[in-house]
Amino acid sequence: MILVELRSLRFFRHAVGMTSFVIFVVLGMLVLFAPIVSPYAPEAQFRGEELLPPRPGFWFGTDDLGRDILSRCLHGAQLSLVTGFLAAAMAGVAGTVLGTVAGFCRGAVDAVLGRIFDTILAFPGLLLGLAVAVFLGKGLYNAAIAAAVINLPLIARLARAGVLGEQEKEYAQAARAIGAGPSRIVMRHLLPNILPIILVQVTLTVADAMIIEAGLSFLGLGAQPPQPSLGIMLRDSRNFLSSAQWYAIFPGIFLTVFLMLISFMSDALSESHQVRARRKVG
Amino acid sequence: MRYLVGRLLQILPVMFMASIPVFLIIHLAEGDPVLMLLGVEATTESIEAMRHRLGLDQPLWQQYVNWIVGILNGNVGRSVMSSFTVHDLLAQRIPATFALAGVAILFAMIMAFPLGIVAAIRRGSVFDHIVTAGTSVAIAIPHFWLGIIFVLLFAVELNWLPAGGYVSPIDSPAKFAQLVFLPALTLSLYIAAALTRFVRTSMSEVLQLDYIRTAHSKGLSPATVILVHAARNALIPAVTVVGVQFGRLLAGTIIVEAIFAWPGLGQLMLSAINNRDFPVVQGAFLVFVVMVIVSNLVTDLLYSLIDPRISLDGSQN
Repeated sequence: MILVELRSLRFFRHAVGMTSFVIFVVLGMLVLFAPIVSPYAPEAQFRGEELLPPRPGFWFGTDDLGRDILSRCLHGAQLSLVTGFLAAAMAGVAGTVLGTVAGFCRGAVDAVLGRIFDTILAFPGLLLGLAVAVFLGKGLYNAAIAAAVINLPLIARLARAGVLGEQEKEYAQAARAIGAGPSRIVMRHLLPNILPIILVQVTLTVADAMIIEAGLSFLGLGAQPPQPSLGIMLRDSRNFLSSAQWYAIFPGIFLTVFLMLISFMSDALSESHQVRARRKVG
Repeated sequence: MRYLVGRLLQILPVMFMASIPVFLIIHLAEGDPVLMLLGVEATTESIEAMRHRLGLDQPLWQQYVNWIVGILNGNVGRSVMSSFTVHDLLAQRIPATFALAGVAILFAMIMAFPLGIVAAIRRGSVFDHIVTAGTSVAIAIPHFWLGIIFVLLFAVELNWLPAGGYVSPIDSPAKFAQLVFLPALTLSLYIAAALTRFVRTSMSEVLQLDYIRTAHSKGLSPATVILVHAARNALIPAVTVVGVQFGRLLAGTIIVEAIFAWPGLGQLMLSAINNRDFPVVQGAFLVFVVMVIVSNLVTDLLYSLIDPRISLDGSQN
């Protein structure tokens, strides 16, 4: 379904978008299969090999406990991506459902949901992550929940606006005229038309969750040692900046590369959507 | 005026709803704050006495009303870990966070305006492509990595600037300038990138308008046309970008303060969370949320001032 949408969006003809997509898939596979691909277990310690600079055997060097930084980066990125996709799935489903309901029902339901969304948007992402950490304690899923909650209103608003706009179009009215019920109109006619716009925000949710996860872990409120979170690695690396620069550099590059790829893909998605929208109008 | 009053009334329900989770922190937070304070060996009497002292034995709505009335009177509660009132603790820390955020916004403008304007004038040039690619990278780099890299580069390797610390700009402006440079630069890069993109787009649009062509044909120098005629119309709306990004900037201060040992609101909140000093956590959250809501309000108001066509109901006259 999503692939069909992507194709119709001319996403695959967008050079930057396509390149980012391919690199993302390749890196994503490496990270997904981290237990197989990575040279060592993320918590394996090699005594006497602490803080080694990059060299054959330890391509990204080792940390203060003699652990292989490449293996930890791969596992850390896996944790980060899983958090991202978890948040995107939660925000995507809940946001689309709530937004569609608001747009379809209008009236009081719409007004109440609208105010709740406004309130959520008063909390910047990381702050909401901190709030979740206060309520639920330190933990890995805080970031996923926070990123899902913060992006839910954005996705819901897009879905609501989409439903309101599409509902008035002839095809929706025609569907209603031939006696299609509300659920059929929404599922078969409205949703497929608003999905592309929502997909852009869902992609950004992945990036948001990854940043919040790393940020919370960096502050000590997310993943807990010995979990190999990129945020924890960056936090620990600060004690060895003068002796082991690679310790701070590689986890950051890992995170930044993923965030950049996601940002390029979402730009490409939204650009190709605009192209399609313009062609439809013109 | 009607817009102003209407917009002010609109934020009341948002303020009310945002205050509820902040209020509930003390009730729903993981771990009973009273037990945290007194330790697991506390007697039932002492627990009851502490609950009474904190007002936790009253009905929930009563506690909420007391809390709101207290805040309106400037009484945000008392830290349970130290002898200070939350108000005093917040008042000590807010200036440092504001100074950092203020300098970061200044840096962002200093970087974004020239870059955006030149990229717009030379649209499609190599410079334009470099700026566009640079903004994409700057938007993607997370604050905490950028901060660490800056420390690594400017403090550890080059030894040009201190790696962290704080003095008040009033006590020693020169020392403050040294200390604020790296954290503010770290914080500003994201907003600078967003602002550069906006200025570039808005400037390119303005440069294609008829009045710019008229100004050129009157024989005015290109510099005058760009700086006096075009920039004014292209840059004023950019103020709203700063407003929209303010919440993100504030959240960024939490991380940046942690990296550079900057004793602001974020540091206060983090240590309060770790110490389970919930009244302080509540106070710090409240300040952050109110600042975001107020900055959104100010942005909207500025926007309506800049563009009189905007009205409260969303329609354009």
